[in-house]
Amino acid sequence: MIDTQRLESTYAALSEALDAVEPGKERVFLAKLALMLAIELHDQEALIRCINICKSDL
Amino acid sequence: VISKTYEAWNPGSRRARYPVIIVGGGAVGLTLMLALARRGVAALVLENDNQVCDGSRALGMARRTVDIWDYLGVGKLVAALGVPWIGGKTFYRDHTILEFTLPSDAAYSYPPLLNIQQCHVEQYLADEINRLSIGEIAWQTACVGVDAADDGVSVSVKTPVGTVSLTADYVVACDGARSFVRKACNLQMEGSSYEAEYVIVDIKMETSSPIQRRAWFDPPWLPDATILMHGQPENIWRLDFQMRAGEKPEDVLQRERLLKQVASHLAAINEPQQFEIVWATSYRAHSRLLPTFNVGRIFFAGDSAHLFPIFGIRGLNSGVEDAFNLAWKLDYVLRAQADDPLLDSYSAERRAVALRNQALANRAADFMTPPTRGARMMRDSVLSLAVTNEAVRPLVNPRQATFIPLSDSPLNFEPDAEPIGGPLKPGDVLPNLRYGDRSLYELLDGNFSIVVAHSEAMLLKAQTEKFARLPKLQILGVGPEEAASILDKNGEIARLLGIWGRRMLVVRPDHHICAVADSCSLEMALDKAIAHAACSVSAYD
Repeated sequence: MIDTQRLESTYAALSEALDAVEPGKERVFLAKLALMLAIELHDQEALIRCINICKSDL
Repeated sequence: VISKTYEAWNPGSRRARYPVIIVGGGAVGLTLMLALARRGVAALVLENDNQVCDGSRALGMARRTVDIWDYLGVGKLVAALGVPWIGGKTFYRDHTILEFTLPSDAAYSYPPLLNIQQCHVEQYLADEINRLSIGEIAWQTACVGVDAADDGVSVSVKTPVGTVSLTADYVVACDGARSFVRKACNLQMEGSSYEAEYVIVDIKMETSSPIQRRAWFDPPWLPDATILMHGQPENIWRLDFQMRAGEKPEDVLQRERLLKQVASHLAAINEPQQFEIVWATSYRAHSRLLPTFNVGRIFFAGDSAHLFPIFGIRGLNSGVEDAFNLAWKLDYVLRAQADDPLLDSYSAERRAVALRNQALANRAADFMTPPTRGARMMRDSVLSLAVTNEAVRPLVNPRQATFIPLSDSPLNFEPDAEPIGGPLKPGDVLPNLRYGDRSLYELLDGNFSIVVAHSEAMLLKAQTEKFARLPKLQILGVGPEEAASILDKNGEIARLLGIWGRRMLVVRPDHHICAVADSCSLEMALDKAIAHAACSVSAYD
C-alpha cells in the first residue's frame, strides 16, 4: 500500500496539474493520464479493476 | 456565555512604568499575563470589554496547551470541565468514510485533545490572575497609540474617563486578527485568504451522542457544502456550516433561517429536535503571518502574529505556546539575567513553528474548502474513492494540532560530538507525565532544569555551587530512591524520558528540551546550560 506522504505528494501534483490545464479540458487530461498509466503499468487486470472502482459513488 | 462583568479600570491607579503591557485580554494575553505573574512580573493587560469573550470560539485545546495551563495553575479546572475527544467520524453523502480514535495514554496528565469553550478558559485565567494579585487587568480600555523608543514604549490608552499615556519596558500585542498594534507599527501580514465562509452556531441540546468530531461532505440535506459538529461541556454542541456560493453571512445568520438549518441537520442525523441557539457568528479562513514577531520592544503573539485556517485547531493553541515561550524570556531580560538576544529567539522559534502550522492548517483547509478547480476535483475524487478504498482515507484525516518541536531553535545545543538518541530530542517538550495524583510540571520551579538519574543529580548539585552567581538551575534526579526528586519506583518515568546511565536532559523554563547530554560531557553540558540560562547567545558554539 502506498504510504500517506507519497499519496499526499501525488494528490498535490495532480491538483497543480489540473489547475494548469485549460478550463474544460480536465476530462481529456484525466483520460489521457489513465491511458498513460495503463501503458506504463502493464497490468490490464488491475486497470479494469480500477475502472470499475472509479465508476461507483460519483 | 459568562455573565461575570468587571468595572472599568481606574487610570488614577496607574504606575509610572510597567515592565510589560499586554494589549488584548483574550486567552493568549491572559496566559502571558499569568505566566509573567507566576514569575513575579506585574504586567498590565489592556482589554476592551468588561468581561471575557462569549461563545465557544476556539474550543479544541491540545495537550500542550492544557499542560501549560496546568503549570500556571488552571489546567485542572480546564480538564475538569472540558470533554476529551475520543475520536471522529467523517461522512461523504450517506457513507461513513473515516473513523478514527485518538490515542489515550495513562502516562500523560491530560488527554490529547479536549473541548471547552474559550470563555470558560479565559474566566479561569482571569480568576487566577486576580487571586495572585500580581499585575492588573485594565477592563474597558483600548490601546489607541504606541510609540517605541530605544529605552521603552509609550502606550496611549483610552478609558471611559479619558485617554492616558503609559510607559512600559516591553509591549506584547495579543490583540487578535485585527490587531491595532500591528497596524500602528505599519506591519503587514503575508499570505492569503480562502473564499469559502462558514457560519458557526452553538446550540444547547441534550443527547447521548459521544463527544467526537463529526464532519459531513456534500450531505444530502446540504448538498455541495461541508458541516462540522463538536461536542462541548454543558450540553453545548458546535456546528460549522459552510456557506454556499452567493450566500451572505448577514442572511445566513438570521435567526429563523439558522433555526431551520440546524433543525434540518439534526433531523438528518437522528438527533433530538429540542435545541436552543446560544451563540452564532460567521467565519472566513485566513492563512497569514507577520514577517517577524517582534519589532524592537514590541512583540506579537497569537492571532496578531499569525492567522491559520480554523480546521486543525492551531490558532489559540499556538498562541498559548507563543505566550509561554515569551514570558520567561521577558522575565530573564527584565531581571538582567539574560541578554537581549534571548528575546530575538522568540521570533525565530515561534515563526518557524507558525510556518509549519500554516502548512498543516492550509492542507486541512484546502481539503475542507478547496481553493482552486484542481484542488476541488482532487478533493471530490478522494471523497468518492474513500467510500470503498481504504488507501485514500488517510487524506481525509484532519490530523489536528500536532505538536511542533523547536528543532531549529538557536537555543538548542549538542554537548556531545554525536547527537544522542533516545525518546526526546532538543526542541521537544518535556512531557507532563502523570506523577501519582500530581503532574510532573508541578515539580518544576520555572528555572532552567536538568533531569538526570538520581545518583548523577547528587554529583551535579555539588558542581553547580561554583556557578552561584548565575541564574538558579534546578537539578531533578529520577530514580527509585526515596530521596529522588522524581520518585520512580518502577522505572517508567526514566524510560519515557530516556534517562539512563549519565544521560541528562537540559530543560528550559518553558519545558522545551534544549540539550540531551551523555556520559562524557556532563560538565560541559552543565557549563553550557548555565551559559544558556545567562543567555550569552553569541557565545554559543
